[in-house]
Amino acid sequence: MHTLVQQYLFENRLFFRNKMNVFWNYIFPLFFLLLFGSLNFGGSIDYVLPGIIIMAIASSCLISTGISFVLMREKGYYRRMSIVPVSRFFLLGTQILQRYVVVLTQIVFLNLVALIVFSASPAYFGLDVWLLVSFGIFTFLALGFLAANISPNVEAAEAFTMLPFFTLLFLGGAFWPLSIMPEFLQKFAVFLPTPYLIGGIQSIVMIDASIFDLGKNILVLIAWGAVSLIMAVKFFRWE
Amino acid sequence: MTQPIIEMKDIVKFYGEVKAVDHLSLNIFHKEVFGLLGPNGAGKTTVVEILEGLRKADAGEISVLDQPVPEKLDRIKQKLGVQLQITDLPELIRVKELLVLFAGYYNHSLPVAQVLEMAGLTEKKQVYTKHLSGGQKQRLALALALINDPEILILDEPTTGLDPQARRNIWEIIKNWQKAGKTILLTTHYMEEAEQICDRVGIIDRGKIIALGTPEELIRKQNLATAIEFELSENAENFDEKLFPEIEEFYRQGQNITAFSREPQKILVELVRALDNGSLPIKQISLRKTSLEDVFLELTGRKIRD
Ligand SMILES: Nc1ncnc2c1ncn2[C@@H]1O[C@H](COP(=O)(O)OP(=O)(O)OP(=O)(O)O)[C@@H](O)[C@H]1O
Ligand SMILES: [Mg+2]
Repeated sequence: MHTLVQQYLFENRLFFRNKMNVFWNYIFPLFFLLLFGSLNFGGSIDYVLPGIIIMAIASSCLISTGISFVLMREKGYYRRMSIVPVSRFFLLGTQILQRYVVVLTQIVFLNLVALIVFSASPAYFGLDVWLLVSFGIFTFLALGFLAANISPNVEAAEAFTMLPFFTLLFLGGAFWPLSIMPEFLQKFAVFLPTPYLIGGIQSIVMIDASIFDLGKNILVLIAWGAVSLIMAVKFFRWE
Repeated sequence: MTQPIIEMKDIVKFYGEVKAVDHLSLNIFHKEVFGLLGPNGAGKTTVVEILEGLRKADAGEISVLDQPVPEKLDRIKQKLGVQLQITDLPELIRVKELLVLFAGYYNHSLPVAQVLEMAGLTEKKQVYTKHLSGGQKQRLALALALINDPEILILDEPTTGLDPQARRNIWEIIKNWQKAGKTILLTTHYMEEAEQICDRVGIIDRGKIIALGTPEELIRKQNLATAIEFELSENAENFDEKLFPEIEEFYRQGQNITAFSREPQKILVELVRALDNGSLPIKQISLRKTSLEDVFLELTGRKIRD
């Protein structure tokens, strides 16, 4: 327990002392929230905020976590840690836990701004959103982990995380409704996890759906996460 | 001597076609400072990292603290302190934070303040590791190896790249650690270092131990000639060693000549005579006690550092 707390604090320090992490995880989504919120595309903040939430999840779980794993791996950190009598899976697990908490704080932060500036629904703070978002975090962490494991170096990791980041967000309807996109892209988007996460959050806050009504959404998120994770494990290496 | 604390039997390790460790057997005993000495690529890192469980031997048997490696590594790790040849630590973490974190990994650890003091890092305890100098980083790596008060300390080139003062500091830490009743295995390619701090030395070349013993034993066993080094004011190419029948072996390097003889006094007299009658333009002469460096040269026909 003591070690867990120490390790968590360690991960937390490393994360927040890196100013780039603060920028990409808090400032960048905030900027998008204010921009898109003011443009008011769909007529309601509920067409904007879910997309921003997903962007926050994707940037933490996919980009930050993916790149930092490769960086630590290439620097021999995990190699050094194999000499100490704690499991490296414990270290990795703590890192994932820390990222999970970071993402939740990001979302709370964005929801608060949306509540105050754009009078967003308090339902964004509800249990159902939290649960659905947790599945989304799982999906994107698995994707980030996959990207890290197939990347031979940090430069490759940047490419392998940015590419799915933009694909999933732009084609998945994070910034504009899917309906304004060409039909073939809409057909393609059906296979992406993003629309299910966005749509799920929208149903919860707009039509008062509960997590139990979102079985299909959750299933798609789990499927994407599981497939990514299985592939990630195949390519996995500590050094 | 007693039961060895580290036992390696017939270790073989290949990297593809390269045989990095070639049927190497080695015992290390309680409370000794053992130096694995060898040139670049000799296999030093491979050997110690096999002991630490970081690499897997292709064949052979290993036991550390009476436990088989790698099977019982989890138990051994508690009592093992390791400094790798290269460790890049996370940058945005303070020295003390890192030591506290590492201390938490072990059942038993030393007070962080004590380890900071030993490694001479007390003043730097609040500094981010990325702001440490190369030597300070090396001392931090050593401090991390010491934090669990390890029975066995394995250091891979702990003083490479350090200035003489910093090197002496590390030697002192190692000596004190031995006084506290611990065993130290280190690798080095500094002959001087091996002579200064090691109780026993194993000279390793191409994955094989080619000589083993105390530094004095090794030097004595080789029954080496004394080295006479002299510098000419012209290129040494024209130097005719036949004029000096006592020279057993010699090397030319630019204007410098290193000659070996078991009768150095006779050669000195002849050199002084040659200087006196102007037949050899000698600028400087010096005599050198034989060192492990010469032992290595004798054993392999190569200099340890090229
Ligand atoms: N991971 C690896 N893959 C392939 N070959 C390797 C690997 N590590 C070491 N070697 C080779 O094995 C041999 C022994 O290397 P090792 O690193 O053990 O030498 P060393 O004595 O520690 O050298 P140095 O003084 O340069 O640290 C060298 O020929 C080296 O090129
Ligand atoms: Mg080495």
